[in-house]
Amino acid sequence: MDGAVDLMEASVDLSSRELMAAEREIAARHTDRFPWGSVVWAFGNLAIWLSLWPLVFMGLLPLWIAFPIAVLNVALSYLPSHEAQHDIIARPGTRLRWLNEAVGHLSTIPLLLPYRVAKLTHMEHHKHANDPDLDPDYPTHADTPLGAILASIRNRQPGASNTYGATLLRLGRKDVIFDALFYDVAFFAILFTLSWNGHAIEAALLWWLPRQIGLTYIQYYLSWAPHNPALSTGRYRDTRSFRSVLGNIGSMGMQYHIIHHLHPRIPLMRTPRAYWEMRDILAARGCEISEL
Amino acid sequence: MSEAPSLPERLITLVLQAKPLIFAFGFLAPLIAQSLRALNVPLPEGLSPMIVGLVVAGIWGGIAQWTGRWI
Repeated sequence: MDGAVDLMEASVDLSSRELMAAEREIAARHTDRFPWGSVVWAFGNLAIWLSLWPLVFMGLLPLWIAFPIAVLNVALSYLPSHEAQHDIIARPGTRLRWLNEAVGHLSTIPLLLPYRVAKLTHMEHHKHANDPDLDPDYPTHADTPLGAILASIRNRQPGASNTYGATLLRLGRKDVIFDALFYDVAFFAILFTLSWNGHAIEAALLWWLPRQIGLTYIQYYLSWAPHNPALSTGRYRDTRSFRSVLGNIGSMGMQYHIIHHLHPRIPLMRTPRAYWEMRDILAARGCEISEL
Repeated sequence: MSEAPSLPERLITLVLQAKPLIFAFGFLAPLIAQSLRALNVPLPEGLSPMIVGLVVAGIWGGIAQWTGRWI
């Protein structure tokens, strides 16, 4: 066993500075690793979703098979962009920066979430997690799992408050709000054109409904579950580990989301390993990790 | 004092405020009509699926517009 592990075993007795040093040492082992999986995931997922359209329109794939695939595609479309938002694929000024930005912009097309909107609001979520006034994801919070699903649906109603828009206004980024408007207009134009040309059911089952289901799933596992009960703020208090009935893959790796909030540049697929190496330190810090 | 919104911003706001009705007539009406046809739902004589789609979507969209909720 190496020194870091010995440190972890004795973590309850370590000073705050020693705990931080041990935590950083573990985090450093997992950062700056190229997330090939997320890059393949981004383009593969988008390619599959795009291919559903000609396959269905040409009668090569029944709509009832394409629909659940489209739901999966939309649900899977966010996380590669999330890696890009944190510059995990490539930092600014590096050779593969274009790839980072391409993943960020392209992967969330099925979800209709512009990259700049996602990135700016997500950084605010990290800065202000669980703050009712400043966390743009705060409206997803609820007391129960069913409440979280209902909150997600309620937040998409026309009269619901738009915390992402409010956040961008607070940041003085009206220009980024236009990205969202452009996506909205483009989506409506495509949806309406398809619908009035006899393809409303295809449009509904390949895009509109998968997006509604995908958004609910994403908000449940990315916003609600890791931050529930969302009563505390602070580095070691605003996020928890949890055990999902769908397992780690079924919850898109979010069981270990606490690692992401502590060290956002650790790639998604390395957070489980980092968690288990860091778990004693998290316990010593008083984090909510009782389920996992 | 905050800056007064520009004309394009006012136009966009106006369009955004009517989003439920736009969505209802742009998407829901043809969706309802095509679903009725696909499911072979019997309709009263002289009533086309598109008329049903427009009426249902118009009422539903109007309610969503008024209350701020689809469901």
